Amino acid sequence: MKVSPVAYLLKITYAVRRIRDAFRENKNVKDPVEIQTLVNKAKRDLEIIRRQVVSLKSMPAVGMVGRTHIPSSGTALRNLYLPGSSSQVHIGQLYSTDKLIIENQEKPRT
Amino acid sequence: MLLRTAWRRAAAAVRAAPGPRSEAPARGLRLRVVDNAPQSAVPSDTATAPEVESVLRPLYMDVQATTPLDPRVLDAMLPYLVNYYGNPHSRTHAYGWESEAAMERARQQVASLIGADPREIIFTSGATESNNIAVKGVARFYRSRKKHLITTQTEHKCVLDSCRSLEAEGFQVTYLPVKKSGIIDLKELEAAIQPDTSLVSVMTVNNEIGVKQPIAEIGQICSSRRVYFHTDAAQAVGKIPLDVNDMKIDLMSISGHKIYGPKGVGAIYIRRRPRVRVEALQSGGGQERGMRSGTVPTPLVVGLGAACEVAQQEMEYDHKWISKLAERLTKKIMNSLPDVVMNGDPEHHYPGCINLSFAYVEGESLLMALKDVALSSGSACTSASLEPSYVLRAIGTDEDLAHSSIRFGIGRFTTEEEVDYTVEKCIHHVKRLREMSPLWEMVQDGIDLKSIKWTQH
Repeated sequence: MKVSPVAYLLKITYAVRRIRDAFRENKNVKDPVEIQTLVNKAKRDLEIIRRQVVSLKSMPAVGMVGRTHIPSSGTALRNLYLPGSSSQVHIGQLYSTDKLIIENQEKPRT
Repeated sequence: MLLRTAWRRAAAAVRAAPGPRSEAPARGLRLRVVDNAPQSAVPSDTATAPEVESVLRPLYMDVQATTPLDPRVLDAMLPYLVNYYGNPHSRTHAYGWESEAAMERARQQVASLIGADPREIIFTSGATESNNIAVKGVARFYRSRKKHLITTQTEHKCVLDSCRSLEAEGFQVTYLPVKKSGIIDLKELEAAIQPDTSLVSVMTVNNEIGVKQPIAEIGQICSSRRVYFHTDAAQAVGKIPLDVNDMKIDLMSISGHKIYGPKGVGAIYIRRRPRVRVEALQSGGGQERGMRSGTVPTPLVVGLGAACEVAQQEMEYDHKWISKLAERLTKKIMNSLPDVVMNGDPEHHYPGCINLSFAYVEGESLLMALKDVALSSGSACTSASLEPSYVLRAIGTDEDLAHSSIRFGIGRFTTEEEVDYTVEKCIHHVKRLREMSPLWEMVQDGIDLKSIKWTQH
């Protein structure tokens, strides 16, 4: 497993600690409905972590903003600064759906 | 497990490296980051990127200044930054509708954290703007009948400055003093309320010394005397339980970037029952019920809402963790070093903000010595000037102790290793600086510094 840049290490240690403590806190839960709710929430959180790990790994120089990072080739420069760069396309794919989501569809649009 | 060993190895490497650092300044934790072969998503031209990066950043112990974004908040914001970019006030197409839906959901999330109704939440650009709206807006609306405001001497600069500008417009402002503990005297507050007082503004948790004001009692006093009560809760929201109805709060300022949300967004709670009338500062298209015109920044408010929701879930757990680390930090420092004073009431205190004064050591020199830990002495707003913080002066700290104060901030993401490292370095440098100090020598010899007559040069 990769070791991420320092900017994310704190979040990772927090996540590990929080997940472990949450499992410990809830180890005596017996009600199956509650268990299912907790498992669903855990799945959603797992998806969050997975999306972030994938999308932010593809970003160049995460955690090194502000330092002098001089790319030695023109193409590397293009990947850093061009808006249509691969990382943005990747993020866009992870955070999109096929149809537009409209919450509260019961409320009429006046 | 790999991470823990990596962290331990890193921490051990730092501790094992004593003495002067002749090469590049070693700040914070030195981690070797191995950037393996790029993913399939990244084209192969980036093979020119360095194989091994050494990333050095100071430890972050300045949580009162700002906080890092929680990953859950970033996850909520990204869709609205990349894909769903509509203006929430566009009523004619789906881009606007979905943006508006997200904005309203965020409003609901913020409201549920403080026990308010969503219609009472107005999004602003931050707590500074919220404070300006609260203080100036209320004062100016009731200008014809009420010309007096009350605030405290330890408020945030934006509140004090707003009051000062109102004084220039012809209002009268009473700046209540605070006791040595940093908490205001309720009797003095009651005595200060006049028939023409329109607003009392007291912050919930102070950003420099971390004291918690008795908000419920103040709310009780204000509602019985029919005076509006505003509280700047930027440092308190999401960290201690707040309820605007139980505490009888009429206006409250919320800041996004203090609760692990994005910078540049905040909110103001303005009570509707009974209605608090506020004159708008920013004119325009009438957005946000006419109180704050301007396009609401959807990604930022979605981030604020997500931050509030996460804070509501994590409040208890975070409080336990932060209290534990704060206890550890203060116990270790105060047991190892003599002549250390904690500023602020030890009982009515938010544990994540610890302000310590180290006698006979200059605060700036200690900050410079602790260059691999990001700390501050006093607030970020006043850090540019050389004067000691006005908050410390208001609680009656001696001039020399006020100059030697450091504020340690502990947050959700702070680890035990960081606290231990900070404590160790702090003790080491304080001892070293005291060795160099002639005042310390004199104190060791038993001379009372207050009795010395310094000659003029």
